[in-house]
Amino acid sequence: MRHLMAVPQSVTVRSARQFANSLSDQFEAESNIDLDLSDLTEVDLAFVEILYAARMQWKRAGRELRLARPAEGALVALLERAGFLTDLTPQDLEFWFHGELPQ
Amino acid sequence: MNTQDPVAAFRVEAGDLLDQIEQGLLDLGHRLEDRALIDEVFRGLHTLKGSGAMFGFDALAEFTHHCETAFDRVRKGLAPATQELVAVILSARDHMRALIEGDGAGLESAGAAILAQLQAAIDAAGGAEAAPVAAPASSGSAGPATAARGWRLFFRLPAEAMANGTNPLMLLDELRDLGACRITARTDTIPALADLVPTECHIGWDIELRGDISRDDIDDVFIFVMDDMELTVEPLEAEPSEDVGQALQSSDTMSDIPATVPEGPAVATSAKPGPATGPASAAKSGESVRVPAERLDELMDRVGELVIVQSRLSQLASGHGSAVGNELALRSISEEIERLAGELRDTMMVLRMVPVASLFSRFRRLVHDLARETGKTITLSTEGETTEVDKTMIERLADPMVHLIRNACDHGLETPEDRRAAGKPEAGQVHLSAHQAGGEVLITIRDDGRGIDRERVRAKAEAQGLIQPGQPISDHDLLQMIFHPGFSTAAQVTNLSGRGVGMDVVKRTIESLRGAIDITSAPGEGSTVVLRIPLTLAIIDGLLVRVGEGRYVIPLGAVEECLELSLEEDLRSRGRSFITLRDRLVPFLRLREIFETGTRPDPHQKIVVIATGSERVGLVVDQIIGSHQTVIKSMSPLHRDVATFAGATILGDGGVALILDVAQLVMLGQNQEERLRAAG
Repeated sequence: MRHLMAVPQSVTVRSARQFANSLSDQFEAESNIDLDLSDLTEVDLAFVEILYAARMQWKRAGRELRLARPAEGALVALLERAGFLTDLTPQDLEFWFHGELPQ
Repeated sequence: MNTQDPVAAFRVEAGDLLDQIEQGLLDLGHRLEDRALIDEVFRGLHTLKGSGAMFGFDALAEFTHHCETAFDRVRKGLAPATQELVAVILSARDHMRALIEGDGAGLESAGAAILAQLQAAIDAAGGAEAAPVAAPASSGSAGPATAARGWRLFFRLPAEAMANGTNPLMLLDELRDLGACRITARTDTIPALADLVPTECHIGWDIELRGDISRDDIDDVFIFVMDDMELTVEPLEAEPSEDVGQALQSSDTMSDIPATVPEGPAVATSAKPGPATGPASAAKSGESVRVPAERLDELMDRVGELVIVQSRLSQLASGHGSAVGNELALRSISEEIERLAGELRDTMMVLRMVPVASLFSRFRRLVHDLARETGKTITLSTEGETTEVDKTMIERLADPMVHLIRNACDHGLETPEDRRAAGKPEAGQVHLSAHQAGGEVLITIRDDGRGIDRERVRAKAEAQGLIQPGQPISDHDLLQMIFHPGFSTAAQVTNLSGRGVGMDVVKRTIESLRGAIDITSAPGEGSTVVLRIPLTLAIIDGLLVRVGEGRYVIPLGAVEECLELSLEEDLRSRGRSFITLRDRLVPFLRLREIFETGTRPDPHQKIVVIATGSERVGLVVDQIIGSHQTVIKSMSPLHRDVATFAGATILGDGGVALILDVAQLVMLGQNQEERLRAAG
């Protein structure tokens, strides 16, 4: 069963706890998750870190966590600025960009 | 201040930082070679820039960045610190304050002018090698080369860094500013979601930094987080930098991804708790006071005791026990509450007390600016800065003291040439001191200038009709003339002083604080002004009296003595209203008549003799009820113009007593005396 989870407009260190709790609730519900980032416009490193932590947890459980659409806009700018796109692993490339770097 | 409002908290912190920067610059003005001071000022600017950006004060962050860039040259020894540079950065510091208090609108041209002055100061100090002050933040600058190829770094911030307001992206940006940079985020220590504290930062960064960059440059980036973070720095080995080239190429393939995103609206604002708001909500910092934790602990102890006593009272009210036992217990509780109320009041008063150092430190800048404007060499010394005064008092003393210090610097101190000719050291001295004497604090402003010119004061007083030509007058009274409205002996009006406004305002302000001002002066040796002010404005010891049906409080500090006024003496003195007190005639006022009580005089009326300075007046009251701890409440706006009263207080029975304004009543008594003398 796949579940589409809408990510709020802003996930920063101030709202990180709330977002992490929402994700944990989804994990408890034993769902495979597609994250809908279409509303996300304000983001910082706390969001990226939560997604790395969540990916690990979903992977260990043999379930799937992915983005509904490839990352774009502010999130890509953040990933670039923070050095997440240097030496991008195939797994990260798949997760963030669905296997294809934006041109 | 709402403690939950991070922008308001930033304004308070930024105000403190600006004060530190100012003090550092003023010290630097005296010790231009002092490396520790240069570092201190730099750190202040650096922190202000970083936290300003974090809290949405973009104009502040940008302006401060330029100043920091300029000052960095001084720190790196590329340009010397000069008086001119110090003066310009002091102006820049004032501009930063304006940017913090407002939204920066309308300040652009002023900021640009200061940056132009800063550029000129740096050019003058650093010669042709000076770097442009207003270079873009991302242009990068390399310090002295100490590792020709560059450095390999790894860093990880303390876990709570982000929650505490540190933005790792800003650190990465600063590293990018130093040179070609290859940044790789390390995610291997991020725990699974179930184990993650979402506000903690577990990301590490590997960085290759290429260029002539000194180790100091790198340390500077981490200067405020260095103590708790994980940081390794090692020189790059001698292999060619192909990997950096590859990295740059790989970035090129993502041409639609911004290379850096500080200006991007979504990310750039991501760490900002809220936008910098306009002037309406600005600058509430003056309304907060920092209190040492132990004083709060003390207050908590008292409150704890009060809760226990309240519990005992509740038990008693529940009605168990014998009547006699209850009465004894009630009396004990009453005494306990009386003690606690007194202690709570004292503890609370102490919370409002701040060291007078916070007042004195403001004047260092004033004297610095005055010295520049007048071309005089002025040394400011202070003493007794730890003396504590009520916070409200500090705020209200600032303006009068500015007047007095301006007068001392502008009129009192001579030019260096005149001082040399008079056999004095070239540098004029202005000395501020504070000490507590009983319930008062004495603040002294002393200069070693030329002193007050008595002849000129007399001539001016005669010209204004304040005294008759040739009229004998004591030295003390002559000096008091300078407090008359419109009185100025300055031959030349300057933008600092000499307009005849000031000293009368100073006197009125000090008296409105229930204080007094004394002045002494010795020709050729200087002048001394002493301000005597009460420790607090909130609570006074008062003498509670009855006049007709009403009760009034006379500030106890002004009461000299109390006398009986018999009915016979009252009748005998009608039309004169003077009593003889130790061979001196003292006028008295019948408060019953002034207040138009419409009641008959009490057969045992009393005269309460009050004084300000050497002036005395007696107040006739019907009854002296006793001493009373008076919590002063302001008069309502409707009654604010009633000059005879300084405020009101609520009595134990819930009634209201008006507090008499001693200075006004003494003046009223003196006027009455003059009228009677004139009438013969």
